[in-house]
Amino acid sequence: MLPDWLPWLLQVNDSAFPSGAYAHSLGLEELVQAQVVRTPEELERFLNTQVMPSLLAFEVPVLAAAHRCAQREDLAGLRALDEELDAWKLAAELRAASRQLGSRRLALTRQLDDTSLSEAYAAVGAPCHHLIVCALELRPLPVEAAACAFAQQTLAGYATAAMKLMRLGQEKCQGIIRRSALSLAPQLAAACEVPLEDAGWFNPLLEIASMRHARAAERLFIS
Amino acid sequence: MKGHLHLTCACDGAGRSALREQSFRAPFHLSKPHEDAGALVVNVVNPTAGIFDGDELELQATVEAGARLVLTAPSANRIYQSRSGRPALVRQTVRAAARSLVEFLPEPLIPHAGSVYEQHTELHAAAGAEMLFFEWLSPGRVAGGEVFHYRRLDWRTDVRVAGALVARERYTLEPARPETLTALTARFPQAHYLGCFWVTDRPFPVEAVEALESEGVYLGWSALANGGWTIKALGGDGLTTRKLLGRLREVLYAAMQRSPPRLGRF
Repeated sequence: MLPDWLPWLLQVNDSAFPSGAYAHSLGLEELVQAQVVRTPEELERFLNTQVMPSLLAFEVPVLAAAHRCAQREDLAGLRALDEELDAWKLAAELRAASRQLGSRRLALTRQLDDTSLSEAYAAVGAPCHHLIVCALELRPLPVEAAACAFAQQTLAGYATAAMKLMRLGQEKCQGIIRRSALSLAPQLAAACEVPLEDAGWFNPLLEIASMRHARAAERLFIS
Repeated sequence: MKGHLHLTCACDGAGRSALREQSFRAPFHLSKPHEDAGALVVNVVNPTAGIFDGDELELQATVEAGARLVLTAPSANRIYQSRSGRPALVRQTVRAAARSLVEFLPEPLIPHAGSVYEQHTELHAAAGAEMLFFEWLSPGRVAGGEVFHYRRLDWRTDVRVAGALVARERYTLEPARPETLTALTARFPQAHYLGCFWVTDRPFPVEAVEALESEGVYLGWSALANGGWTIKALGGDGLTTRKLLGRLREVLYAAMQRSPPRLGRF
């Protein structure tokens, strides 16, 4: 028998789900401009050596903590994590992008899923970072599945943005996402167990890229 | 070695900044402070060769209302090879009261081959305080070919303005796990990292900071959530990074409509 949450997961992780992610490159546009990431091969290396380690060491442990809060309907705990993310995200453009994506997702979740918890969270005036809202949205799922869904969104977000930034076709793009996801998936369960006090990652390159993108004279993406 | 440095800088009866309290224990030592450009400049000297595994060093600096303090050091912080596998631990806390100004300006951290180092930094700026915090992480003893040969660096930094958390960083750099260094070295293979937090109500000097970019510098700046600014840069080598730090300091002091106090090093 299929799990009850499967149709919801397929819907919210569908590329057609209007979260607004298509408008963000999350720093990749500047890295391409700066010729740090120039080719599909370099994109895959960027995902494998910069994005995936950050997911495992930082985003997934925070997502797991938020998921635990959401499952026990601990709105205060969820909000505390949400506000802490404002401090973690030093680059204003990445911070704003995360809030924008999360707020859009929360608005859609309230319309589509009609749960009092989403309504209550929308009412507390929290920043609504993407990661926190994903935890809230995906709380019916086992935490590893929620982490896998979030990671897939992240990888696909960068890869599909790259199609507008370099010579990269759809099939090659999907191949990059598939190989990256296959490599990442076996590590997600352990990442969900990383204590919150040990979570963190260092990526000055992406932070600086995002800071510079905010001041770029020409750009395709919001972030 | 367990050492500490506790300082309180306050205005004296004449309104000049002075050390109201000081307590230190080796390896910390203070050279004679001097006043320049309205601030008290304190050079913190480590008369030993550097920091060793098992060392636990605690620095607490408090700047009271209206006082101005520059806390700096005349030489690089060298972290030596850990023979025991234990880390050297440095905990540093800087507090700035309303209408005070504190600058924290260390020389580069140079982690030697095999070193293990843990640094915890807490910055607390009250509403109306100005704070300028720099950190410079070098890849090692570059001239001898020792680049990213340390064993592990653990970094924990919190910045609070008027009690609100505005910046948090937690990371581990471990060359045995190359992915921890990829972002640092993608632009420059021997990258020096320069980080800065600037708490102020003044407008950000956008054009002057962006004019610091060059072929050997990859630099960005951003407003923090709930107050203050951060400037981050990767430098291609030590000389470029030193020049950048000097110019950045001048630019930020100019934005505060002050002259940068001379550091008293010859």
